[in-house]
Amino acid sequence: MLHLLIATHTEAKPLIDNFKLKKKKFDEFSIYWSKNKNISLTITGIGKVNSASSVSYTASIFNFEKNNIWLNIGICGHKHFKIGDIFLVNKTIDFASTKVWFPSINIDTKIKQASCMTLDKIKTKYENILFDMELSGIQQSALKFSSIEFVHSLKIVSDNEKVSQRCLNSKDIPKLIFNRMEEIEQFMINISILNDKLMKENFIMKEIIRMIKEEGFKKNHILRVEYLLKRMELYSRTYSIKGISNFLQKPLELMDFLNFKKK
Amino acid sequence: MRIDTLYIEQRILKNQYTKQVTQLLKPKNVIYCQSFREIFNLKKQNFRIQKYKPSMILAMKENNFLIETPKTFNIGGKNNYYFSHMYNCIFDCKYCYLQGMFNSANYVLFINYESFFLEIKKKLEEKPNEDIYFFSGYDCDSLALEKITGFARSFINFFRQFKRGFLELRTKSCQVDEFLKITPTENIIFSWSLNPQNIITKFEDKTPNLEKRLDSIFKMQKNNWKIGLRFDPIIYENNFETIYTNFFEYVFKRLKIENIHSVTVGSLRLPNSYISKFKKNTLNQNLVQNLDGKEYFQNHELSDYTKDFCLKKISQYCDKNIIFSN
Repeated sequence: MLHLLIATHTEAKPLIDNFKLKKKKFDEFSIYWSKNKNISLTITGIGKVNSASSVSYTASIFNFEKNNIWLNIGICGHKHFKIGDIFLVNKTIDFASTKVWFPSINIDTKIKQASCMTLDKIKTKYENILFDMELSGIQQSALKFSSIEFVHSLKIVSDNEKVSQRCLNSKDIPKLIFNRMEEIEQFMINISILNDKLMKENFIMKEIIRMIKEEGFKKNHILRVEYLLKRMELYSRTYSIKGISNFLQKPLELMDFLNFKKK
Repeated sequence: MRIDTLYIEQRILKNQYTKQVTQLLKPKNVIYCQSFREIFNLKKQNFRIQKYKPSMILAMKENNFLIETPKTFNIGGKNNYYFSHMYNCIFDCKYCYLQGMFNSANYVLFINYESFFLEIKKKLEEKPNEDIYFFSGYDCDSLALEKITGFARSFINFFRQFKRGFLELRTKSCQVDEFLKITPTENIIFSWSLNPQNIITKFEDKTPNLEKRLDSIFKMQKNNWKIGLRFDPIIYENNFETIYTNFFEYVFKRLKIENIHSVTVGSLRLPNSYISKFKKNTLNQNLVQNLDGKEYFQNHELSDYTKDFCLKKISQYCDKNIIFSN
């Protein structure tokens, strides 16, 4: 399962809409999840204490299941990075304690990488590092329930030396996230495929991959089919061995069939 | 092999060797750390998952440069030490004890070769009249990353000055072209771990096949390098006797016997303290057996049998004085 951790509802809105997540009734934190419960989304609140508590709370809701994926998505500041650019965090520093984490990135991704420093209060002087207020809390807490390969953060630059956060209006923030949905989706799919190698096996997917291998699909086609099947799962779409078996002689048609258009 | 992420300890940023490795690797991401332990020793990480895409950490080794080998481990010498310029291996042998030893599958490359040289020199001075054997390839493959590390080239150059200091470079790799261009020296032993092809296919993922390894050995023999053959680990499988009999016959037919420095035979073994981590990390649970409520890597009686069988077979092809049981 993949848990999205988002500081504010404004940032979460495009993700809730994209993955058609439904709100569940909990008093302490707002939690949403998808129809097939492959994705949950928790509004953590601002600050690292809130974010750390929200991880524990979410873990408790999902029975403290081990080795799930914990993915923080949110806006951040940087001295000179362009507004709207997305980064995968490869080093997290807690400013107050100077504690450091190095998320292990074991998938191929085109997303650029950067370090992120979590602050306790907003800093007006920008530096050559991403700034946020939640990540160190998430990192520390999520590692109680998962492994460093599955605790990640995607940060989208919302402000820099030239454009202050004060210039943003309530519509700008969802737009920043929405514009990066393709990269976010790709990252979520690839990390879920990696997570499958550790977690319980998906027998239907395994069988489909076995079938297309036997049919002599090329390696890149096999990887693409695996990717598209995982994408369907993330969007709570169902697939079956029977449905797929109609396309066993036609790799391109199969990929076209699986590559559904989002509404 | 592509390494996208390179971690570098802050204190070695300006080191010439750090710059050299970075240039060769051309990583997409360079991340600075205080100590390799921050990344490598973290408990909450998964060796098996990291194996899909390992990163490299450049670090400086501070202590424990040379470690005495277990008493039974030798190739004819009395004084035996092993050392590791690197942790972890690009290959993925299912029986490999590294997955029982380390939390991380990332490669740690210690760049301060000079510190190793100092310790080796010191050890040779401590025992001025004795031969000393130094073994590389316990915690990594000695040659697999040679193009990036330049490890073997540096150590061979260093060892040329010592007649009493022997260096074994143990490998499964075929990266030998560099060494065909340089003058061999009597105190360097290039040693290959060998197994029958069906065992390689089943257990030694991402390694060169038997034929390629034998080709490399043959080339090195032709260039007068001393060669070690390491039949290690011997793995018991159905038709073990036939498989290994044919295998030894084939190997000794392919190679020049007179250029072989030593032959060793070793069974599948793992310290008890590594077993639980190994079981978590390995995909092949059958390698760990449960006997009388105790877990063994491979049943002791079976190990003795397989080793004795192989020793007997090998003695048909080469002098008993160069055969050792490890």
